[in-house]
Amino acid sequence: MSAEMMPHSDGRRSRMVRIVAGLVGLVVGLKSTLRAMFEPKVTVSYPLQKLNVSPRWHGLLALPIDPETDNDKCIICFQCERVCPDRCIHIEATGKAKDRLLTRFDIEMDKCCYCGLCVEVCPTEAIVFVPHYEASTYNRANLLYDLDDLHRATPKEPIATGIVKVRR
Amino acid sequence: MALRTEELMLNMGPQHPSTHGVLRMVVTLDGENVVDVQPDIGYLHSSVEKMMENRTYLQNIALVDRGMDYLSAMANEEVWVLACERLGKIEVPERARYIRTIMLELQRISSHLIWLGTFGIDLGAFTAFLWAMRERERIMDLFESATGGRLHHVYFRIGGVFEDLPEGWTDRCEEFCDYFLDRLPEYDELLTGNPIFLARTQGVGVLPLDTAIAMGASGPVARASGLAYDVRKAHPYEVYERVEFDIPVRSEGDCYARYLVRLEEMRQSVRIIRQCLERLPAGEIRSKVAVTLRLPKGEVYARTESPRGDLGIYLVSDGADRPYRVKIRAPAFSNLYALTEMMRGWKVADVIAILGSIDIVLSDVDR
Repeated sequence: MSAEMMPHSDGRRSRMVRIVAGLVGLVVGLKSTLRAMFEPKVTVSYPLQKLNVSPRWHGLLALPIDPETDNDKCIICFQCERVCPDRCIHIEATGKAKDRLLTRFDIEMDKCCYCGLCVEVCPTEAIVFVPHYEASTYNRANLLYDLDDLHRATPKEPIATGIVKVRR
Repeated sequence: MALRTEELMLNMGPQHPSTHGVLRMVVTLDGENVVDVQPDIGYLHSSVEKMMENRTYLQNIALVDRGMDYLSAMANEEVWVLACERLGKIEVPERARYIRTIMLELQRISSHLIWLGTFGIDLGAFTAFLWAMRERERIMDLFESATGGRLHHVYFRIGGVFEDLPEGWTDRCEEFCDYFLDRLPEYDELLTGNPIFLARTQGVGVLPLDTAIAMGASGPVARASGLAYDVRKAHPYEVYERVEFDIPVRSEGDCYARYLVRLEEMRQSVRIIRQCLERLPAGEIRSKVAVTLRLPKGEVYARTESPRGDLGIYLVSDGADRPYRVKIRAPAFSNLYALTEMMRGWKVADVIAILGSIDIVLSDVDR
């Protein structure tokens, strides 16, 4: 604080007032931190405890296998490839009309921005989000998900392992 | 004989823990007094405006989320979809407009909480940071269950919102409002009454009203200097003209006034959210808009009140499926340039306090 802001007249009294006000402020602040000490903890110890994510969670992408046809539901319409802002989906197919066969469905997860536009435009709900949020890897090549990887990422169970603490 | 002294040039940043990102400040010091400050920006430049020209209108929603102010992604989405809707004259269902307003105000609270926490850290009060994060986590959970994302939502769509609110969301949101208003007095106990906090903020970094206007400052920074201007009141969008709220204004213009204005804004946000939840109508949430939307030829300027101030987008369309040119008016950029005026004459220890008080996000400054 600059010197001219302090009152010149009865400076001594004002100093006392400030000291008292300061002490009161400190005690009030310490009181609320003390109160917080005895409240239940709001944190979880992450690798051991994990929180469940919401059903709409933008996690990893997957092409789940449909048990009826034993194949994914992709109809090779290329809509997700076109709508992707990062152009990280690559689709190739052989054959014509009804005999079309998916030969390549690659997602570069390192480019993906998890916007969910591909999930939104998919007419058959073939491409979906799975509640998986631990995709980090030591090798960049591991982030290229091909058709097998995308089939395997089907959410059979909540992928978060360890002691799962349910979110309040 | 007088001692010969020289001015000292000091580089603060770009890798300084208290610069809130990659900002370099060239500080000219006379002893301990600040003579001049020149903020040097551009370390986080990502050419968002140019990138937007290569993406369709829908894809750009995913870009403005992260390319601009990443702490208030909803506000960025809002200004972008607002510009597109105004140019294309696209109707937005009533329910979607209410949902958007709720989301925007929740975003304002979460952004202000981050600011409150980091401002506390700048001044040496660590507890406030942890507590602010605790409250913010609740908002993140609300966002996560409604949008699927915690920081980057991609929730607003041109002509509505992506999905309806999940079951029980409004109850949880109301619960949060009660919880948050209970928690707010704790910050008063921690910071407002703390003598160290007061000594470091009261009267520090005063920005006079005329300078604030001349420098183009907006948002809480301008309102703390006495400018009673809020885009939500002056140019209402969404349902802001139908809800009651006050604009907190202080005339002091110092760091403490900026702190008080933001605290009060959070209370007003809760007030807006409660009114919206009460009146939330049923019905459609999205009008039919093609994925490859083509906006008519023309130009439009949309402005919103983001947590940091007056956020605007100037959009020019040539009739194609992607914008011809986009110009973003970033509030943090203008607020940053009022910094020099605020800092001149203060001690070097106050530099961080003043910088922290204007709440800049470098990705918003550089774009």
